Amino acid sequence: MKIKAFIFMCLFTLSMVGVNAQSFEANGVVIDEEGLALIGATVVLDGTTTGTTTNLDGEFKISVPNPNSTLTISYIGYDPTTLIATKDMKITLQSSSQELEEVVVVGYGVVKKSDLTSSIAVVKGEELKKNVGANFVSGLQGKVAGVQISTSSGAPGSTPNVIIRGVTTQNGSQPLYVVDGVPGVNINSINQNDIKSVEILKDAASTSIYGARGSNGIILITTNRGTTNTKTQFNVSLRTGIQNIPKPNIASAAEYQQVYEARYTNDDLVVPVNWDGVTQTDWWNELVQDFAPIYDYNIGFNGGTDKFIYSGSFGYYKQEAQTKDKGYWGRVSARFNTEYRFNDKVKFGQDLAPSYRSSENYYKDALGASMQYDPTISVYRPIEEQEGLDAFSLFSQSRKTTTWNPAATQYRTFGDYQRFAMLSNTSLEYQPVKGLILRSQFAIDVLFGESNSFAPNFNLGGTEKLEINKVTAGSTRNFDWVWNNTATYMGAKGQHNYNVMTGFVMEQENSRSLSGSQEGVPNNYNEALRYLNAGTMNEKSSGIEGHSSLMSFLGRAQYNYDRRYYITMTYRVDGSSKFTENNKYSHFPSVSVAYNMKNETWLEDVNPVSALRLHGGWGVVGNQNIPAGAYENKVGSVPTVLGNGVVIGSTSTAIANEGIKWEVVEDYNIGLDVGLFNKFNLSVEYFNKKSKDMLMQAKNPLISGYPMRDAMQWTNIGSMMARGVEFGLNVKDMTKEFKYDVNFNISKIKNTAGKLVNDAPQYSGSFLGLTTHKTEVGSEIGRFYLYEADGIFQNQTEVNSHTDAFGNRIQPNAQAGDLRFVDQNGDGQLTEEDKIYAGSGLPSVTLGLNAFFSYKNFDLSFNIIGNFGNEIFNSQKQRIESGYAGVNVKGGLWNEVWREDNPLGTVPRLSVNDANANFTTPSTYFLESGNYLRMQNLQLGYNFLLDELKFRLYLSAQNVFTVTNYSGMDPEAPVGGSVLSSGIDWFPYAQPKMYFIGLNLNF
Amino acid sequence: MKNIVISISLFMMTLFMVSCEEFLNEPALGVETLDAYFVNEEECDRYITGLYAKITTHSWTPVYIWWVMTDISTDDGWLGSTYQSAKYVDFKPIAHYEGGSQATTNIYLTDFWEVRYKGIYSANLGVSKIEGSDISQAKKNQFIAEAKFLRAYFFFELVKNFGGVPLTLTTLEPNETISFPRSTAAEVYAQIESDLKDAIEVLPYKANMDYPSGRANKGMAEALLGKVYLYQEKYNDAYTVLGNVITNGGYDLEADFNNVWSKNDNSIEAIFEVQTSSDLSYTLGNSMPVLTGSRNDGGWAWGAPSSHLQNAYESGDPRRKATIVVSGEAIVGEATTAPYVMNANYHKSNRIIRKFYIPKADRNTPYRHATNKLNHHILRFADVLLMAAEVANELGDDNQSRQFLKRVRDRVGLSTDAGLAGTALRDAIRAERRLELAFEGNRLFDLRRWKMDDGKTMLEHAMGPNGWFVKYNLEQSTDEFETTNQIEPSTKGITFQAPRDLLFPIPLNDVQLSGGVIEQNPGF
Repeated sequence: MKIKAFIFMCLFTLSMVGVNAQSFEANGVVIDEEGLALIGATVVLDGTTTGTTTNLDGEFKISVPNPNSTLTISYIGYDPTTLIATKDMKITLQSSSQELEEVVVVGYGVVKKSDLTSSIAVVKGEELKKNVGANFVSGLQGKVAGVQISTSSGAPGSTPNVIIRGVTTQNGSQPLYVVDGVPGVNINSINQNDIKSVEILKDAASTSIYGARGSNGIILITTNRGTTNTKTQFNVSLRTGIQNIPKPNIASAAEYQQVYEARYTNDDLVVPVNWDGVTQTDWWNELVQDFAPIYDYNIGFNGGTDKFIYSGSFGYYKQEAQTKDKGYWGRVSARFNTEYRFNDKVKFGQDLAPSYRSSENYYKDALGASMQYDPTISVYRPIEEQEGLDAFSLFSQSRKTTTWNPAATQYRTFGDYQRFAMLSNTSLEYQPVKGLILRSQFAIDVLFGESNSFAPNFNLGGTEKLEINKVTAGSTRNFDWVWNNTATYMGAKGQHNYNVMTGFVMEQENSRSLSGSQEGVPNNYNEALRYLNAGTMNEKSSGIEGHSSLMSFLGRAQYNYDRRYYITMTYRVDGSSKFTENNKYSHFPSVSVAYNMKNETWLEDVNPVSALRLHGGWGVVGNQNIPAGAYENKVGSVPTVLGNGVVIGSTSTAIANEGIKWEVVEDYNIGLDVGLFNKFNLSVEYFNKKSKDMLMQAKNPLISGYPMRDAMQWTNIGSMMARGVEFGLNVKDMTKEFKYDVNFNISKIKNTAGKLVNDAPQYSGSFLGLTTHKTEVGSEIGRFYLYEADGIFQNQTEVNSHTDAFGNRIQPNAQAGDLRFVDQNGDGQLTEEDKIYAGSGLPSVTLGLNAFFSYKNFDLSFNIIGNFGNEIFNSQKQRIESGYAGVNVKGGLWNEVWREDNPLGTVPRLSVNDANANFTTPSTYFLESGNYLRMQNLQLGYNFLLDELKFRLYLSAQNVFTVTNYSGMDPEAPVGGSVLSSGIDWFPYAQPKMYFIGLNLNF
Repeated sequence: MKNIVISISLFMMTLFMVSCEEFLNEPALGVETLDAYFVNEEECDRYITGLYAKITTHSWTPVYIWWVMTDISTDDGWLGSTYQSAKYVDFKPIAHYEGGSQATTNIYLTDFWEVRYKGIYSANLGVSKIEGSDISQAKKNQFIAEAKFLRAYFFFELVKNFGGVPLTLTTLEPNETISFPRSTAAEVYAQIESDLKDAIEVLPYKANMDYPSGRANKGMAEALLGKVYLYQEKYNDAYTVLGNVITNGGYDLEADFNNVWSKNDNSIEAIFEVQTSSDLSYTLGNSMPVLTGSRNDGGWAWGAPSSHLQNAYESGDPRRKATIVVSGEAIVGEATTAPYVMNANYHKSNRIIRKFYIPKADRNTPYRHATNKLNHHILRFADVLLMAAEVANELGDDNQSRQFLKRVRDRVGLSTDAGLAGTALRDAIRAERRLELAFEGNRLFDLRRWKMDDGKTMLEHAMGPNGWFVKYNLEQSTDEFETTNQIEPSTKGITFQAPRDLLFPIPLNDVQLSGGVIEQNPGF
């Protein structure tokens, strides 16, 4: 449309400048969408061989014979355009990716975006690159309506939780990742700079082609490829930055002592610690580095001849942990994608993507430990005690806390983890007749993992010791292969357009592991001895192999009439090794339709409406996310002692449900897309998903005596529903000097339990061994179910008057300063029946705002995410507000706790015995709103040319700021995880703030 | 169009040639399947061997810790460690009789319940599978008898802790487990008796065993049956089986009490003993030495003797020092006579249990909770003698009763008043049981079953606001450690309520999962 408008403008201009001239010199400038001059663009006078190229400023001059002469302007990677030659032309070329973008990758094929009948969201690789991380997933945050992404840990190398359109299973909510048609690839081995686009398949109409594994949605990743007849282009991207976790407010040694003593004196107990000679240690400063570096370097190239296209890259990424002295996660990756065309009919493709990941062990709980550890203890023993001790024993012993000296723990953590992965993707395509494509793809995904660690012996006193040092090593090998075979036929007859695909797929996952350990390494220091061979005693080893396979037949038929009425039908039959003979196969159909009103004659010329499309779909998908052999009753070995010696007995180790079958999810989806003035794009969708025969590890009563933990057994019990509305708005104008592209999305989701084991409520979540959540049939899943704490008793009179109707005291152990728990049923006792639903651990509303602006050489982009409607159970309070077991508390606690002289204190009284169980009762006291808005990404760039090289220099920040009332470290950390027990916060590795400087170079 | 159809057909056909069935058959590896098990004597024998591992699961939790828990729920002991207040959440609601959901959801309570039912399931599975196996009748009988012995032991452990429990005698399908109700205690006891009688019929006495020690034999089954009868006050039946053990079992008292709990494994006194090993390749040790050991000596200090127990020993009773170590005293059996000192801030009573203490010279390196060799007595001959004494007294045969009592007291060089009779003798036997068998898992259940003259149990007299133990600690005790260290409060037992605390609660987990079919014990 833009091009049309431009042509119209040119024609208009032409008519103005007159018809007098015949032969004249046309001139102009050629720019790209971002307004940058294109150097060396080809300008050819149509019908001749006369031509020229643009200069360093993108300008050209060409002599044309008459005013009707047309020029064709072309440039590598951009769509050629043909215009009538004039003076002072300003020609904007659209990059050809714009054209490719019109094609959307679907399962086992591609579809023109306008032909889509299902719900698929596309995120361009460019968008993902703005985010720095071990994988691309956090870059999707806030980009797509209906997709909730939450990062539970800011540790290097961690993968966020992804929930696509709510939760319909208890059995893993993570989607299936498919890289260039290969399902199940470990995303940490994929360099996000290699990604051209990510397609998120949200509804069953789009995912049912993946059948058994589609129920949590599918994320398709397409990597960069070259284009034919294009000269090699290079792009270099370098960035480096720092990470910082803001230091929380931690009590000083003085405040700690004050709190510690009050805990005893408030209970009329003698303070059991003599503070003589105590020191002050700032454990955060001992363990956490202020600025941890992060590096991300990539170089890529692509191009092609008429026969051969190629694209390649090399990437280096390294992120240090926030802990001092040790800990990092890194990856070196390469990719080479090639395709050779033998002739018009046969194409052969081979992609290779090796990667190497390594990480160094560090004390993962260092952040939480440094917040809790006794600040009156010195890091090391006094000098006089150090004599004769080895370096691992020089540290001081902990006193009455549940954590060991964290500096000592960090110091003696040794080990690394290495993974070598290779993804090989081979394809052969044969086009026997026009319209028919036979394609066979065979891919191998290999992953070798190696770990080695060493635990030195040490003795800090008491139980804080390890008598014998130990070396542990392990290796894992995963060898997965997939063989996709498809036949696609497309054609058109009159107004009838059709595209039929049928396929046969085989997949197999194979894993093997081996691990061993030995003790008694002769010395702690010699790094050469930190291997299994150096051990002298207690040799142990273990290893296992596992396989699972899948065989499937699939088909898809797409038809449209006159690009107005669309229908797509898919069907997949999956056979899985995870089920017994009778339940091996399952069927997954889908139907979806669309009505493109814009292509109706009555709307075609209504210019304000640039798009109007209605679509809807239905489908069935499955879930087979259970371990291999889950249907088998197993017998394993168990050692015991009889007759004064070790004997090996056997015992049943798993009692299985032989009747387990596929979990299926049925899903309806309806959506409307509206485009206005070519500038606003609006989309609204409603979805309704419902699972049945939900696979879950159901708890049987313990009296069953089943050998599994909690007598849990894989069972098809239960059903869950997820319903929601998604709204997306895009406002975009890239045609003027001031360009903008602003994308806003918001979605509201509700997850409901339809059926549960015996229709009994399900209790989940854990706080000191007590449950925190309850899920009941017919109501929302994963809600907090807690005692209601409605305030603090101000005096004994209030305690005494907290009674039932007969005057029985409800909290006989309470005193002034304790929490008042509400006796909901008025029976004078606090029992399970007095708990109330206190909100959900899963957010009901998520939003994202993604904005891009550019003016002249500058560009600015940012990304804001938000979560609303969820509560967080701040279980850290149990430690840092109570001083429980002698742990350190939060700074300023003294002024927040209730005391007789501080009656406005909001924290219950300090007490060792906590007779009222203020801090051990799962109550609403710990609950806080989890609402937040976070600017996840901010980037400011400056673009310039230097000797034909296109540069972009930028500054960027991640996790820029967060607006929240939540008092914990990171409101995002507790979200996700197990869906029925989401929202419990426990000393997370909070997401660091990151600041980068970066440079992109294209030539 | 024709070409297209042919092409597609050919293409697809080549693919169908792959064998489907073989490809989609992927059993789990590294394990055997139950369906193919129990085919020969060796497999049956291995399975029965594995059943013995269920007695303690060779781990400090949940069985050893639960055994500690029951002993510290009496006047004999304290939680002990005041170092790690973290564990209070786990121990205190039970041992201090606090009731409420902290008790019904207690992790050790729940785990103990779970592990005993796992044992019962395994025994049930063994009985039914071995019944159908094709092995010699003699071996089949022996294996089934062993499985029944263990099933009886597991049910006894349940019934004495919880009262009547669901009596699961087959391997239940999931749907059968949901609404499986509790049986009465009498019904559970009847089943235990039946299983033990079956075992007694088949199994030989210790001397005639042709299989390794530690496995069930006739003496073990008789001694256990004697206790089962005693707990039900079936004195006549008890007298018969206990008499059989004493006469025919081939047991006697160790000459020196200090050798009862020592490296002297499978001694003449041992009847039913958990076998342990210090092999570092496994974790098959006795967890008690570390679990109950001093915080200053590599231990965790859970389960500390009370001064109330200490005061119960008459002077000159060597069992005092063989049972209790007080900080500052030398340890009997240690090479050194240097005082053994503990930090009073870390230990409620500044005492540890001597029975589970391993002298430093005998310790393994490393000294780990999982690899200490010290066989653990479940039933020993002194217990049998004292049960026999109690039974004889109840049956009016005071003369015989005194003989049994005397035999136990003679060993430790204490005289027995020949004039003891009637309730005085009864009380003397009760006192003797406490002193002889302290921390061996008897005291709580004895207190629960022994009635005072007012018809109330001794536990009700010991605990509660007016209980002797509570009054002792709050009003009389002058113990320098217990009165000072209030991190574990001396009010233990003040919240005791009868009838609630005469049994432990059924784990809430199973009450909830049963939808109320499994009824909770009263008061919880």
